[in-house]
Amino acid sequence: MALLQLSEPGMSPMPHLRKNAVGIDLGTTHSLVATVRSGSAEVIADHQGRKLLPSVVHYAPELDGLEQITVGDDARTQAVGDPLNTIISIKRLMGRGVEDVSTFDHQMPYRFVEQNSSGMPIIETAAGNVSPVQVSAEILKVLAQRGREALGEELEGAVITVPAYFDEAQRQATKDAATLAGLNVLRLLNEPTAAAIAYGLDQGDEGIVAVYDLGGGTFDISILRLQAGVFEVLSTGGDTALGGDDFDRAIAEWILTDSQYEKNVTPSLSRELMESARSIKEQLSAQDVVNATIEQGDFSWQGELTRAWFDGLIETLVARTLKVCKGALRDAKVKVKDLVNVVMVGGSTRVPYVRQRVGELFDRDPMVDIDPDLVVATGAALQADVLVGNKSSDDMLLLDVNPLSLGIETMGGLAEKIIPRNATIPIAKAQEFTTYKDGQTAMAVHVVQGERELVADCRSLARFELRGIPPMVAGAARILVTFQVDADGLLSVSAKEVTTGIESNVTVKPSYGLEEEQVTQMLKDSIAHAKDDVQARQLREKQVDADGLLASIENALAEDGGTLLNAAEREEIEVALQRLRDVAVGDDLHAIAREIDKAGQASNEFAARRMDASIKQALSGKSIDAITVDKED
Amino acid sequence: MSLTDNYFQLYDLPEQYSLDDNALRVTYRDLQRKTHPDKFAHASQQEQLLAVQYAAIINDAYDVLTSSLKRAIYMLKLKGFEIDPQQSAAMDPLFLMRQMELREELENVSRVDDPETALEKISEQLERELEDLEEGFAAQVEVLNDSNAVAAQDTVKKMQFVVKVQSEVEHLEHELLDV
Repeated sequence: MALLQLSEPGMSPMPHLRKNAVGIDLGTTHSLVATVRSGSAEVIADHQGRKLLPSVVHYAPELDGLEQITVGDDARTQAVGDPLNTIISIKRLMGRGVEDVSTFDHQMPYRFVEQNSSGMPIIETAAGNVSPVQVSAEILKVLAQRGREALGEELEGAVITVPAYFDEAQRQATKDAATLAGLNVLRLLNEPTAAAIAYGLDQGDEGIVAVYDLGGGTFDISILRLQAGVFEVLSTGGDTALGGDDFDRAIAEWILTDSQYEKNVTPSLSRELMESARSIKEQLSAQDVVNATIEQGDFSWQGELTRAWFDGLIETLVARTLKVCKGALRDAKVKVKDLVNVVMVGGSTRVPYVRQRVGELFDRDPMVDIDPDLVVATGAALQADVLVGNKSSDDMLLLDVNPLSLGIETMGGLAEKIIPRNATIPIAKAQEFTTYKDGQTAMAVHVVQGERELVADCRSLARFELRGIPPMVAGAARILVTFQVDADGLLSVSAKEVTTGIESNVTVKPSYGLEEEQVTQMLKDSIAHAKDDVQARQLREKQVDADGLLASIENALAEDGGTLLNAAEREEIEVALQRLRDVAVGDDLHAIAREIDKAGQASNEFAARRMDASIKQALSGKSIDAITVDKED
Repeated sequence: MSLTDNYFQLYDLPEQYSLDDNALRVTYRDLQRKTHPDKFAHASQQEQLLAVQYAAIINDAYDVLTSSLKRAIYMLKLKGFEIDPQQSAAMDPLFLMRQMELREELENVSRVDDPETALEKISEQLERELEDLEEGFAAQVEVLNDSNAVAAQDTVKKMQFVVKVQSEVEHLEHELLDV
């Protein structure tokens, strides 16, 4: 247990031990990996010097028992020729349910498996059925490998970015994908917040900034206050199904109509149209007129397209983002004139019309001189460097928010909000429930997310049953259910009967996605497939955990053991440490895990005392003036 | 200074209604710097859980202390005069009358020529009303005892009323001004 590392600002607690950590931007269209080397963050390129990895995965039939999966530019070349086995924009399906797929149907040519128990959309490919989590994991594996090769060593952990407006299921799916790719997730970081870190540390600006992040498939707006290394998100808003892909689709659909093509659109033609549309869009960012020709099978179209035409085509889409921006400003209680800057992030902010409209709304030229493709990964790498302990967290503090209200279903299908949106995380709120029947011993709870009043209009996150309620007359039991959202924006639930103190068992079954054991099993399977030795790998990881824990408790004891513990308490911790030391050199995985647990428990109280002491120190460290209350206020 | 302390003690503030917002924010950041889970990302699982709990309480305390209504409710609870949400007390008829007038104005706001200005006027009026109530409560809570607790509770109920109308104004702004 590391306990509190009370070190001077700017000093790494263990300067001789630099740890390898990366930041990963897992995007709809492309993905990147970045790391901090000799103090500055850089995006890691592949062997050909390419920084952007297209988020495209191609599945071919197994050959001699070996997987034939390609990712990135090589996969993209298959997009038109083999559309059903080439998965593009998988991020749009992350954390979505089977029934959501119907709304994407016309955009995705894949064959979906009709019946499955996970609730997730499953895609049939030449290499078997795959879930969005598995497809994303393939992209993450390539990026992780890129990181390993660049750093020459195993990675300690990774920060993965997600759209700020991603809901719980979408976040959980992303975390599962990273676990499946063998990554230790240090934190899920919101994309606009990541951009603000990179921007803030680069520019040294202080004040309130807006980050407008329009990517390939998602839109986010975050309003942040930057001050003295603190990045405080005041509000966030967005649309997780709005991005550059939709601009492309608008162009493709217009061309299809204009062509008067009457036959069925094949998956290959659909891909060809989308690829051409993307190219037209990109060209129109640099020039006023584009001459385009599209030939695919018996489809043929030729035309001249202008920027003004394109602006008209995307006007309503851009207007949707502006409406969300206004809402975010209102939620933050901030006026346009209060902002010091508007930062543009995401490839779609290259579109001149987007810049123009954002500029009009915010009454200034938005800031476009940071590469909108690289800034998120760069920010994630900076955060990873802090989280892994290379850089003191005294220099940088992120205070992010919960993007969507969390609540439960009450009588009549109404949603009762328990954790409001834009509340700073971590956050915990408790709500009391009671029984409605005599002798009732179980109770069903339905957790939902969203702003609407009816449960049917919100997103179903999970259903669980509280069991083991002591039988009492109706209304006598007092069941306290605590909802906690951690720093990753992920929810956990615990429950307790207040009058008896009995803890209820809460098993949350996610409405979409995987249960923890499923992820573990998939991970084991994939490692076995790679012919790695699972046992050896797990043992190695546990030994590293044990060493880390030993080092940090020893460090904490040296610093505060004398002042915060009496002799008996200290002895108890020392004994636990010695037991852990003894088993850590051996190869009994379970014994190491057990002793890690025990050492953690033995030092739990010590950790809490150190936390309290550190709070006390934070308060006493201030000048008297700063904490004197102004009675005139 | 520990989690069992009340929110004023946690923030090292005297238990009184008027607070220095700036001092509060400075303390908030100092406390977050010490307890935020980001500081414990490379620590053990137990310690990470501990950090989430601490940071959540520090956040909740900040939320309560910075809101004039939540702070008032919290102070009443601390002093043993918790407001029972089930119990609806008789309200000052003059106050109720003004609230009804305001609501009527709100309902008509979409039909006037310049709804933005009309809404702003209502907002300002609500803001003034809330400030008056806050001032009243600050004085009442200073000398709180069994005999005047009902008056203080009454003030808080009025604040709840005003805050509710304020959120309706915000909602209307959202609907009317987003084009």
